[in-house]
Amino acid sequence: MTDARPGADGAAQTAAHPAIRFQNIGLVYGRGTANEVEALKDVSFDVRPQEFVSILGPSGCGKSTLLRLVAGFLNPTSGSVSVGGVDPENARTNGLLGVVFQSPVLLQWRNVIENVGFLLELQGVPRRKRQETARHYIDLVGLGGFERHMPHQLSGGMQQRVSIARALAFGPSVLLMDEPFGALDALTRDRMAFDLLDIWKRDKKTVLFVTHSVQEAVFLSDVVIVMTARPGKVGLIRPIDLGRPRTKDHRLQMEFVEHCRVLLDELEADVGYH
Amino acid sequence: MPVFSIRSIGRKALYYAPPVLSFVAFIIAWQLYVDLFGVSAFILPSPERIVRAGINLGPALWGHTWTTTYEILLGFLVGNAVAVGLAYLIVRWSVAERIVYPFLIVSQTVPKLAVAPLLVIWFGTGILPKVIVTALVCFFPTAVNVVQGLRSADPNAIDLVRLVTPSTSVIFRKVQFPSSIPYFFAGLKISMAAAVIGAIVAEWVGANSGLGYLILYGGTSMRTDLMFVGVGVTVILGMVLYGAVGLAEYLISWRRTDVRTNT
Repeated sequence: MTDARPGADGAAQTAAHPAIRFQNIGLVYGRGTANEVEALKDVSFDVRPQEFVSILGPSGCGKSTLLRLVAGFLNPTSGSVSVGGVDPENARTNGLLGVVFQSPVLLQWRNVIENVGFLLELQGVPRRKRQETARHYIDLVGLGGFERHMPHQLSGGMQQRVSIARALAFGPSVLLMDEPFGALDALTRDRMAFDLLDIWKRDKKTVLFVTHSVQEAVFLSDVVIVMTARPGKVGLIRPIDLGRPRTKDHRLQMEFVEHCRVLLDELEADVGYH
Repeated sequence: MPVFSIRSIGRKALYYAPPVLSFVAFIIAWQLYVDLFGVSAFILPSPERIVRAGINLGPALWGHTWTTTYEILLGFLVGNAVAVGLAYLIVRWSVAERIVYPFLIVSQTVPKLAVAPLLVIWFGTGILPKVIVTALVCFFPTAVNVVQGLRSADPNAIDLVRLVTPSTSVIFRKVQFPSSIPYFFAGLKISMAAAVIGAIVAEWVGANSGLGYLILYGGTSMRTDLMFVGVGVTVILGMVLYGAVGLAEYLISWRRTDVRTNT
């Protein structure tokens, strides 16, 4: 699958490494057994530095698997993944990667500030410095004043904010988000999308964002990638040229709707609705 | 609102009144039944007679109580230390699980009362066989719960640690161990209740001191009131020790509502 974006193979790419590069990724589970499953097949695409890229696809198409490959928690059967020009293990141990899961994954026995500073603590950052950084990101995600609250005292949306603050406080250049708003109600989800864009703009991260929601993907992203299932393949790479900052009005524009329609068609073609 | 406002005291009194009053009513009914129907003290001594028997024992009762308390605490400590160690091994190495689990289950299915005489043959009538029996009944609930607790750690939280370090000992210290704490205390509570029974049963087989010995002595010498004294003090002791574990849990453990444990 070739990258359809203008300039993807041109000058812009030679200046620096892509933030993430998937090169002919294949992944087979249970190879050589009766239960052999081809999870990913010939997946290739690049994510440029500071780009916001969403992956859309039906359940079981390997979206989350892609994130695990980037984090080096999983190795591909064939092909290679690189993060900023180095292999995932290296990128991970150099603190280049931040992860936000669908559930907040907060440590229940730690309060908000201790959760946000958790990864820094593991890195051996001194307490004072760690708290200072944590405070900054707690404010950034709009949770100032909740530093001493325990996770169970917060709503689902607030907990997810804590987990985003934790990922950011770690100071990664790449943020991997696995359906981070999937468990939230529609209103909260909406607000979180706006806030995430604010943070992304301020903090200048590369974001790889997995979602089920076509509208969410279009609204947030520079590029949306549609995956097809069994085996997971790249079905479509669509640049979203809506201009920034994104506002509520963008969702009412014809272009927005058109993007959604094209992506939805691609998704449905795979599932076989038509 | 101040902690000791009239209203809060009133509310507490209302909360605790029904169980306390029904307990008092039970004791009074017992006393009246024995007095009015002239029940023989050999069949059922009255509460008043039991209390008097206890007072008459004087310092000897303290001695028995202390012996049993000491056995319980020591057995509880040893049993739970072994339990936590085994649980760690089981979670850490799958081979250890296959080796240890059969022993765990055998240790539970072995009838303790039947093994106790053997322990007396081996270790005499001193405190050691009692501590061993107590430790044996103690460690199973804790081991099972701690294993489950260590495994209850969120795999995503473990991945989170792996963003920084692949060290399994860091993963253990920062995620698995704290995750297991509520399970640990759930195990400890069951373990404490079992420990009391363990110590009493062990004393039955061969002892010259302890509440179990007192109960047995009362039985063989037709002193039903002494049996009741032994049982009563054992119940109070069990409640105090169980309460102590609950207090430790309250002070130490983080609390969650969604924890499921083996009981």
